[in-house]
Amino acid sequence: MAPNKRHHPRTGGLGMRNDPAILSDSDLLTWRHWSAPLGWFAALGMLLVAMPHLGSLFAALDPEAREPIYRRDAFVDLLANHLLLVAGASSIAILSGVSAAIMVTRPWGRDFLPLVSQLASIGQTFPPVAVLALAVPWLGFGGLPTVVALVLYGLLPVVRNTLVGIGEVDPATREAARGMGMSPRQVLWQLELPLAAPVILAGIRTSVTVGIATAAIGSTIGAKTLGDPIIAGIINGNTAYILQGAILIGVLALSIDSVFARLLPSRR
Amino acid sequence: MTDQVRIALLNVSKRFGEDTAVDGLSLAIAPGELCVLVGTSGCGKSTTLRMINRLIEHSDGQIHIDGQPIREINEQALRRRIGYAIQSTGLFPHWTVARNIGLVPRLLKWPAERIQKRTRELMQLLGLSETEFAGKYPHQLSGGQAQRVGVARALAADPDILLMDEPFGALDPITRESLQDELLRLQARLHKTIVFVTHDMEEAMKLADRIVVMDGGKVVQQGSPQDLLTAPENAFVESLLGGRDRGLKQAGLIPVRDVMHPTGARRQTTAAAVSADDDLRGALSLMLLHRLSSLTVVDERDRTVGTLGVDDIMHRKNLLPAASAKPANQSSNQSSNQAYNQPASSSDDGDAVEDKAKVEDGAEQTSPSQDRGPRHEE
Repeated sequence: MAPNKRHHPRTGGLGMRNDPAILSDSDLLTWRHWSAPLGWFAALGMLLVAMPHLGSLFAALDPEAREPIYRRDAFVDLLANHLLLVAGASSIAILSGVSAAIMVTRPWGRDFLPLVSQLASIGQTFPPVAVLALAVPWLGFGGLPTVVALVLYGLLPVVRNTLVGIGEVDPATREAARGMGMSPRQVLWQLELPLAAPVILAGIRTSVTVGIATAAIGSTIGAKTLGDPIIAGIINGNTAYILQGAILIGVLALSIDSVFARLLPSRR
Repeated sequence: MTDQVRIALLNVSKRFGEDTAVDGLSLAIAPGELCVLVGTSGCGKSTTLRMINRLIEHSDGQIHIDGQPIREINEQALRRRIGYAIQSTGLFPHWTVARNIGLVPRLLKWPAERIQKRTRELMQLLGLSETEFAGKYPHQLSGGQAQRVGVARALAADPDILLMDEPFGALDPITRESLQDELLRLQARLHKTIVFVTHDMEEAMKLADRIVVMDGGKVVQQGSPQDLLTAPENAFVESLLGGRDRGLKQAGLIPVRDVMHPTGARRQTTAAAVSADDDLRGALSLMLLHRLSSLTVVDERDRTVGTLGVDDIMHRKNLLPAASAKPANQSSNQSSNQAYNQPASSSDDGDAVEDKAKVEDGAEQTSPSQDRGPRHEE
């Protein structure tokens, strides 16, 4: 998912844009630019409103179900809680991931580079379900262990892409920046981060999108998420419930993903 | 003038672990001097350059700028007052040309208006049309254009000192030559103290007031291009000078104007003409090409101003001492002693300071075309 090639899509343009690799403000502020995400969110909203009234449709899909629509919680509440968990976990993963990657690319932190990238890899290879199982005895049931599992799972793409993005900055450019008299902080904020931004953003996109899908397993340990209908469906053999949860999670993930797609410069 | 040394290196060494990159180097560079460090790769010339702006910290010895040890100056403050241009330009890819040029003034917190004015001035100085280039990004530039922007950026805060690390090394020969001419034209006007690193002896010959030949982290020989050609210290310097082509290179340092007979002395027109601003090497080449023993000399408007014969070249009055290489096995340890006593080249004298003041008063605002040096650009 992460683009590993440098691309400079904005070649033309007479204006003094700050950064060709990032969309300019004027582009980001037009309705047209955001039409796709708006469409997805409209679809999501309509689904939330319409779902409880689609009993006959789901009854047709799964005639054996006693109750075709999941009614233990309102879908809106499940969605809100689902989003909250992902937002919390992603914020932590992004903040700690980006800052860890920045630290280990500084001269004084270089020794920790292998350690940090290894930790992040382990975080991702460790299945979230296992993390949940291990975390419950410490943190109890509910949202907290879910957030822990999501943070661990979401760290790698952020760390890796930040490392790649900063690593891709031409050493000669960095040396020139120092030679011009920029402080290390200025080099980071004015050179490295702006150039790495598209790659970092791509990592965040992966992390968040995967997080939305993965958060559903929180339902197994009592966190309220859109996974609830799925778990209930599995336990009760109710395919309609499973479908309702899965559809909502899918559309939510696509909606959020389309926002990132618009933040990242498109390749033309 | 009390202060004739702008950059002083005293017995400077740099060690990377076991390796000694620069070994007890001493060098004094006068204000307004264009000093070229030449050597093969790994001879320590780049390391020496980067020790001057503290991109590399020297291990031993002392480096002074205007009499002040550079260790006493804040790293960033030091670098902001020294221009720095490198081979790969190091332009910020996400910034426009204008913004790149204004980098150091912005670091120095100049007011926006002054930065803009200065950027405009520099683009004009380096022959970059503002309307065409100000808003472009580095990847939209050709190599030569990017290097011009790199030089403009180095000059932006009007530093006294300019460090250039093989700035023209990656350019095609034609672009390289035109940028070399440009640099000489700029230098004739700005009188910066320039330390220029190259592995190309030809380039060094063309640009330098003084050439410092380095090998194995030490100075092998230093002196004016003529000094080197006349008396290369050892076989290494001789090989850098191009061995058999030395005679031609020497001829390349003498303008036709100095040797020709002015019109009237021996008037005769020949089939081929050479410009008075050209050098003897070019004249010889023309003679060989056209199988002539004498040429008509013309000025920039193609008016005949004199004649030049083979005999004039052979028996020229401002004859250099006949070239004689010293024995190749002669040890070079005397070179480090002589390093510090070397007089600054003749072109710089007390005027340098005055000239600089003039420059700051707006000489730079005049259009570049008014001020073309004697070099012919056709």
